[in-house]
Amino acid sequence: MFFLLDSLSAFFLVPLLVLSALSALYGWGYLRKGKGSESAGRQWFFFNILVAGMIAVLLAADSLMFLVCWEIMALSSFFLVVSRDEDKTARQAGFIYLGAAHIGTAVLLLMFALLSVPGVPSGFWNSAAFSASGVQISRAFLLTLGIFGFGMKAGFMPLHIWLPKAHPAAPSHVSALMSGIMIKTGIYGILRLFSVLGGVDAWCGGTLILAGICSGVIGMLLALGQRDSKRVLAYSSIENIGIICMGIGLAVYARVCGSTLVCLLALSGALLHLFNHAFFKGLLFMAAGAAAKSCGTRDPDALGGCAKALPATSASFFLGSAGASGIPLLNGFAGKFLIYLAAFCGLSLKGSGLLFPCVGVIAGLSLSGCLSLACFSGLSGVMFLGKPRGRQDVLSEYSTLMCAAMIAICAVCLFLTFAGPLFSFPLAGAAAIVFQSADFLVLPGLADRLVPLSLAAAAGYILAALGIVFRRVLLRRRTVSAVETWNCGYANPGGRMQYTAASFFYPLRKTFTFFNVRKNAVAVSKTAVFPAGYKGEAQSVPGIFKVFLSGISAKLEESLSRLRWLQQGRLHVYIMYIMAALLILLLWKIR
Amino acid sequence: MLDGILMLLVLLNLFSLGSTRISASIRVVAYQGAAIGLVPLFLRGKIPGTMLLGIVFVTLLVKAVLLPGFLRYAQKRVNVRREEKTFVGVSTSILCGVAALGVAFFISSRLPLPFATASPFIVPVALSVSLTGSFIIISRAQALSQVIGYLILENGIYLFGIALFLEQPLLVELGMLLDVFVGVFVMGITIFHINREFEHTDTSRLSGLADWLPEERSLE
Amino acid sequence: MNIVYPLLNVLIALLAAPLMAGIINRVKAFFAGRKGPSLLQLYFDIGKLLRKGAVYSRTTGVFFRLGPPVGLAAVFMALFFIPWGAYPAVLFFPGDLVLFVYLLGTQRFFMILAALDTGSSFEGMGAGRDAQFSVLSEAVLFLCLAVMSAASGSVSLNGMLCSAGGKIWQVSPPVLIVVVFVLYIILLVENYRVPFDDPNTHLELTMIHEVMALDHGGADLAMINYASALKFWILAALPAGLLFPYALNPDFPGNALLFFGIIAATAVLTGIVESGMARLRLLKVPQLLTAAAALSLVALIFLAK
Repeated sequence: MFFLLDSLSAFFLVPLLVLSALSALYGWGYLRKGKGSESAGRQWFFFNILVAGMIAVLLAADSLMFLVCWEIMALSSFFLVVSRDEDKTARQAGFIYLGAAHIGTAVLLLMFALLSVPGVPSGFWNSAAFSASGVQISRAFLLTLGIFGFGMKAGFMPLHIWLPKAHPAAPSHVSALMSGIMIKTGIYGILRLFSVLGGVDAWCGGTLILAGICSGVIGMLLALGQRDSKRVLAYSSIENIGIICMGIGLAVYARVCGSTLVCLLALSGALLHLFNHAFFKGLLFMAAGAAAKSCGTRDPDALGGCAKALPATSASFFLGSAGASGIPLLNGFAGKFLIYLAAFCGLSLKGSGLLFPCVGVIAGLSLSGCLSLACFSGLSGVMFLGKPRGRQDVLSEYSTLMCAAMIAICAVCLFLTFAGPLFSFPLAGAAAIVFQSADFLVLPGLADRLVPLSLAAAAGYILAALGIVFRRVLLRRRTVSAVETWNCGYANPGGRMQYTAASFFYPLRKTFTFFNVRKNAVAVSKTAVFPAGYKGEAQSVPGIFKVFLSGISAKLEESLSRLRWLQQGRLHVYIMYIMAALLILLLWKIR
Repeated sequence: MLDGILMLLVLLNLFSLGSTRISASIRVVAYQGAAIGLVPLFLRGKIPGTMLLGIVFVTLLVKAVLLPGFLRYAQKRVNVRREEKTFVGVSTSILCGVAALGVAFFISSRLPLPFATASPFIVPVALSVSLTGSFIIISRAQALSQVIGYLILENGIYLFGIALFLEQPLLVELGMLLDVFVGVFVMGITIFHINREFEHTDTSRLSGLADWLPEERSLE
Repeated sequence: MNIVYPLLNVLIALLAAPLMAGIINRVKAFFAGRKGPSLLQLYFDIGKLLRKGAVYSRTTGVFFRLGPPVGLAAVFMALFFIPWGAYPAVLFFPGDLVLFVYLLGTQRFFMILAALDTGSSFEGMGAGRDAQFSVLSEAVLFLCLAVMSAASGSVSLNGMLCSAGGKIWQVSPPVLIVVVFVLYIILLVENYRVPFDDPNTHLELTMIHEVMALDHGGADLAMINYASALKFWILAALPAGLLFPYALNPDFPGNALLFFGIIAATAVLTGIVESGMARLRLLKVPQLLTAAAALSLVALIFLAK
């Protein structure tokens, strides 16, 4: 039996199916007018394989099938990332992505090899079969391998390097799918590993919480002031994966400490946030892509004032930003709320040993939540509101199909805002599978906890509408006129006088200078006596990682370059290597 | 009440980490000394009443009046207003102070103390005061700040000694007090001379006195 | 009958919130040697503004018009989760403190968007600084709520403040004094008072909140001012709820008056602080907020033992 559908898989499949359908609709409009329509066929080929691969990964019941589909997923997404292969940054991003994905897959290969049992060639990936098989391998080692391997796909810190490069380089509908679902398959893998191993340790929870806090806070700090709107969204995906990791880590920790309620709440929060994030992040990527296509640039500092010309795109971006900021009026709040509730419940249970993890989770969630509110309000405001900062041409929506897809996802997000209580049974079922215990199914349902949120959102909309109506009634018999913005009396304000994204985020980046190194590169042309011109470029470079990783990679390169002699470049030598390896394996097997 | 004084000590720690003005730090040392001087009044002990009052009076006199007064005199002579160069920023120092408190609580929960103390917070707070004092010594460059850090460190050790309330606390404590007094006196005189010689008291430039350096570096 | 008294308390809050702004201004005038505006000045201002027409900038779109009503709606909703005097809150459920903080965040989100919609660099500057302060102040507010939750064993605001808050004082008095102090600092930050922002000016040095409302006029400005007054009341109710003497019998007039008196005293204290302190340099504000976060962490560490 190769495929198995249970509550956990089903929970991940629903957003996958809906989002891939809508992003295919979007992609139809995105690719149709592009130059070089011959590449569209190739793109759709890999897109379909990607979706099929992801579905198969979520349904796979044994290790070999899982690994094959995992690799299919990675390869097809690689080809989609480099689809615009005339662009050098896209190529580079693709290679980094491929390297990172394969490192992860190599580690997973080792893990699955250890999970297998002699006599059954493809190993076990569902829990019942595994516990009956009696594999004696250290659970800690397996968990480490699993978290590393799946973490490389999920993209939490410090394994996130490929994400900010790969997601902006891909076409927008593919980015939406990658950010929305593909990185979540890493989380799915971790949860499945927990369920297969049948039990977890406290250090595992602590590590996940720590990785989550780092991803959440540092990921969002790196997002501030980027010059590419899709890069901001990629960093925001890292932040949201951090939030999900915090929830899962807290659930594991609480399970070990014996508090089932906190465990259920935290895991449900993580899964619900995962579900909601798929949709609002997909929406954000699509809207950012549509804005880039309409305006010709992805740099927020060159945009501005598009909202009136691009109503569907800007409305989608604002809805997505509201979701990403975690406002109670949209769907981004429910998952975070449950994780907060879990942490506060853990705090209020005295003497349960959960104090410091819960405080860490609360601090991490609040910092990252507030940073994302600041980031998205600033980004969406700078991109769509105010006056145009650069181009003055007439803008229009790029394609109606794209608008239709975006509006559909907006509707889904709005539905999810109010549909929280519907999730209570699926979430409890998924939790029961992850932790292999039926306690979760008998706990008081999550529905009671999520109903107040839906009511609050509804009340919020109604009160806001009442406020707007009240003002309209007041102004009905009075004069309403239009003038230029006040600007302290300046008579002719231009678009360039406005705040840009860089200036908006400047105070925040000054506060957290440890994580942001601004690199100002100035190139002076040295041709003549008088300097012909210079090009200045300011870039936000995550300083610590660069220094740390470049040091490690330099050392690695130096030590591995001694093995360079193995690469002879001649076919006969390579055949000799293959025959030698086969011979050695045969000799070792029959000893 | 004892818990209140201990919380006040922790807050004074954070305040000393957070301020770069020398006069504010001296005031913090004075208040800390006063608070620590009052602590023995709240401990149930084997010391008779008059001797207890004597200890409290002497401690208050030395820690809260004499030493800070001497430091203020030194500050006026050397004419240093604020700490220009800290190696760690203010926010980071404060967060390190909180981390030091956490570490102190962790250590004290593992220390096998042979007898119970009057309050479960005394030993952790004493450790945290010592850690804060050493952090100030490490992270500040001005010589006067180093003396202040040393005083805070001694405050912590003194509190630790009181908390454990040894058999003959009186002589030990008075001896320590004398030791601190002489130390600060000597340090103050040294600071005068350094200032007179170099016209500054920035200890980070002490490496300028060396004949050789591990690597070729231009000296400021 | 149980719902009537809490609702009555909410009504009192809605009516009395602008009075607090009047008290603050009167105290500041007293310290400056002036007579000062009348205590009911904000009521007159709001009434005058509601009778005016509106002037909108051509650059602005939907969000400029959405900012004030949505902000007022969010703050109005937050009012229902706070317990008053000896009575429970009108609405409470487990985890309502998270919703409370995020409702204040909703108001901030829409105000930032409204500010950026005008296309003016002044509002952009205010919005950027507001975003910076809010990151730290929300984290500190959550830490304070964590301390209160750990001390009281409850996950709802109703269980942490006022009559149910008596348990907290029995746990550890020094910790609660620190928490009250930190909550007061948060009150000053979130209401843009000295030492974080000067509510009297909107010059570049002090541009944070006042400048975000620079282009609003008429009914919009009335809504913004009223929402600020409500926000002051709400955030003052948190330390007031902690300080409220819990041993009183729940007889209606006395408790409500006492609670009102504590909030009015907070307003007086704010006036004194505003008169006595200068605004901090903007570089120092994150340091002060970090110190506030450190204080709450210290309170938590003390509570853990």
